[in-house]
Amino acid sequence: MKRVPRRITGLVFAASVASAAACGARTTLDEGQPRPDTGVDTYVPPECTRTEDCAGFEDKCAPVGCSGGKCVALPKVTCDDGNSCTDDACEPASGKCTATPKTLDLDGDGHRAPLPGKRPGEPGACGDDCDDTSGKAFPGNKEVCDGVDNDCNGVVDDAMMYVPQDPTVDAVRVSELGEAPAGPAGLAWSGESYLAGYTATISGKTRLKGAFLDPNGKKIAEARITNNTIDALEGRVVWTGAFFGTAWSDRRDGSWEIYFNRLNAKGEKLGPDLKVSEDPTWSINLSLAWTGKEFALAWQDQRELDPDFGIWGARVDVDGKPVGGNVKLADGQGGSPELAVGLGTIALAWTVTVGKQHRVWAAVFDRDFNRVVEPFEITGKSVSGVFPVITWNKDRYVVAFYDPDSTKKAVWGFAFDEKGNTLVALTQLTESPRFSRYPSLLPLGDRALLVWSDTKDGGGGYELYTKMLDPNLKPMGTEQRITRAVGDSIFPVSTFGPTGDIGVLFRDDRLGSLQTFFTRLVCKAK
Amino acid sequence: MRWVLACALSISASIAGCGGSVSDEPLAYFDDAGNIIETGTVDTAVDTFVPDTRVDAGRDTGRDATYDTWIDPGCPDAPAPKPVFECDPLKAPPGDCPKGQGCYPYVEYPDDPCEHEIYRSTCITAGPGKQGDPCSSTMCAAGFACVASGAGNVCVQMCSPAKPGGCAEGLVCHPTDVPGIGACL
Repeated sequence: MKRVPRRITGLVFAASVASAAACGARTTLDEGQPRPDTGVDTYVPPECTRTEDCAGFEDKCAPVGCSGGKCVALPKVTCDDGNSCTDDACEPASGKCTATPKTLDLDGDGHRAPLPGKRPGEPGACGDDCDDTSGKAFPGNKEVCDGVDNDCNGVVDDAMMYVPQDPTVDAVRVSELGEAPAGPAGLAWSGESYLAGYTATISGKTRLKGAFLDPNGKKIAEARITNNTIDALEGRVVWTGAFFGTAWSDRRDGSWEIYFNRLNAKGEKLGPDLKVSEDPTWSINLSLAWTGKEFALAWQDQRELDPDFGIWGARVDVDGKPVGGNVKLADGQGGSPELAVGLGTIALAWTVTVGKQHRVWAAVFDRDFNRVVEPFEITGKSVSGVFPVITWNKDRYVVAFYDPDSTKKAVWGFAFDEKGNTLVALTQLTESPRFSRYPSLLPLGDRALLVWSDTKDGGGGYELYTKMLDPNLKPMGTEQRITRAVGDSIFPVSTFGPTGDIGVLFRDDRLGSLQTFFTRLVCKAK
Repeated sequence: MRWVLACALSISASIAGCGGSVSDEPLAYFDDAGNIIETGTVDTAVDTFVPDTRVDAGRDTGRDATYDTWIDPGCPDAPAPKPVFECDPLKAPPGDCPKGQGCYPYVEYPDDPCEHEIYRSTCITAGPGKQGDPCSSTMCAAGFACVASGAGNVCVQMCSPAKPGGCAEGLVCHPTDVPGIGACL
């Protein structure tokens, strides 16, 4: 077979011409009529003898008919079921109307999530489920200690506290001994098991793996998210109520890019990997959030600023298909973006580095990534910040980050509403004579749980600590130490688990190599 | 979490260690009947046809969506090649290098999806950048590497991830995309 190289653009043009000629535009209006000026009665067949002769007859929503030898348009089918909570459409093949709910019930509890920007149950919300990722949360349900806002009153595990499970066995290893260096990449609870995403080094390559853990952290199954030849950098996982979403960066294309896929509860991919970042420059340090209807991603990207990075984002629908293209979320240099989903908005927090100065900024977007609050700086003259985390807590976004530059190496917090109004000014969240780093936040509605790493014990390494914060980010109760091993316990990623547990995935070198460990806090009445 | 060595600094530019010169211009091979046999792009640097391993996903109508889905080329499992180090980046400066130079690791990226990266190190003139200094346009000092950290491209002290505890107080040794080379952050 002869191989002839040609530019594809040429082919597309040629093919278009060919298809136009071959398929035939079929109607000129006078076709089929006698032509009196010829003086000869020439029989021209009618345009149609039956409906099927008419172009577009297959579309029963915009029907055509054959009348008097001519094709005529018939009244179009109008679909409106009178329900503002459905999208009405006509199926061309049948001409029947369909009504698709505008909101989802992914957790199957019979209650739909509200439309973006609406509170659950309010008029026009089209849904009253306060948490469509959990079948245990819906209006009228009884509140129990399980990490879920069961009764949808805006508070998780009302008046409960969380304590380390067992000080004598403070954590279990998730990564295999031969997978070092390994590190946490994300943690989510499906209702049956945790999916702990972690990076593992195998044969010199870093893979993103998923470990399914039972409530005690025992590994019950594994999923390979990236394959053997690909070097992966990081990853995230979220639970939607029906399946997991996962995103990561790897360099299968010769450049670090962002990829996305969905996993079922067995860890099987639900489709091919979707390459999300569109530019051949590097795309790394991603964040992944579930809005209740779509996935939102943000990452740092070198396009336009190479070799520096800016912040870009993208949306992926529930079927794993892209929605729109990549969107520049912030102007100028930035890195380590983190997303949180509010009632009707998405908030972004990220790091801006100017020289040796580290700043944390935030901005608010609608669900289509249109900016609704212009970027504003959270850090101040006396407080620097890097690697922020952000969460939505009932009526506010809460941001936490650590200050690597100032004398006080502390974790700081800040809260603002969906309009960008400051609700809690910069507040120091940790007190340490040494270093506080790597905060993780979990929202409980009327309070928030902070987990972080600290060298305060003077043992030479970081240990994990936790404390409860009130809505003004003031401490409630006493802080608790979670880990007690030698070396560093860092990068905690926390999530709500079963029966009031909070799962925490983190990196630990207690065994002399970098491994991924899991521990949990348990819910306890005060 | 791992960090990547930034391609920004002159080490990569001078050695072309950051690879990837595949043009965006698409090319296809056709048979005599005009059917596409294979699609790909032209690597303009070496005028070579690079076959696609991707297929277009359903394009979205919004903005500039050009997402691809990935078809696994089915690369065989193989151990990664060992680093080709001219010098040891973890030795105290100047280590294996002449005075005034430093030993810097970098990555050569493959064009073929089934090929491995090649991890290299070389001696070049050391720059002034110390811990936390920006390195988008300046070299790092000997013993420091430029990493894309999430808080800017910064010089960081190199360390061994296999030997935790080799960083200054408050800093932790994180693995980078070069096996065996860590960064104190």
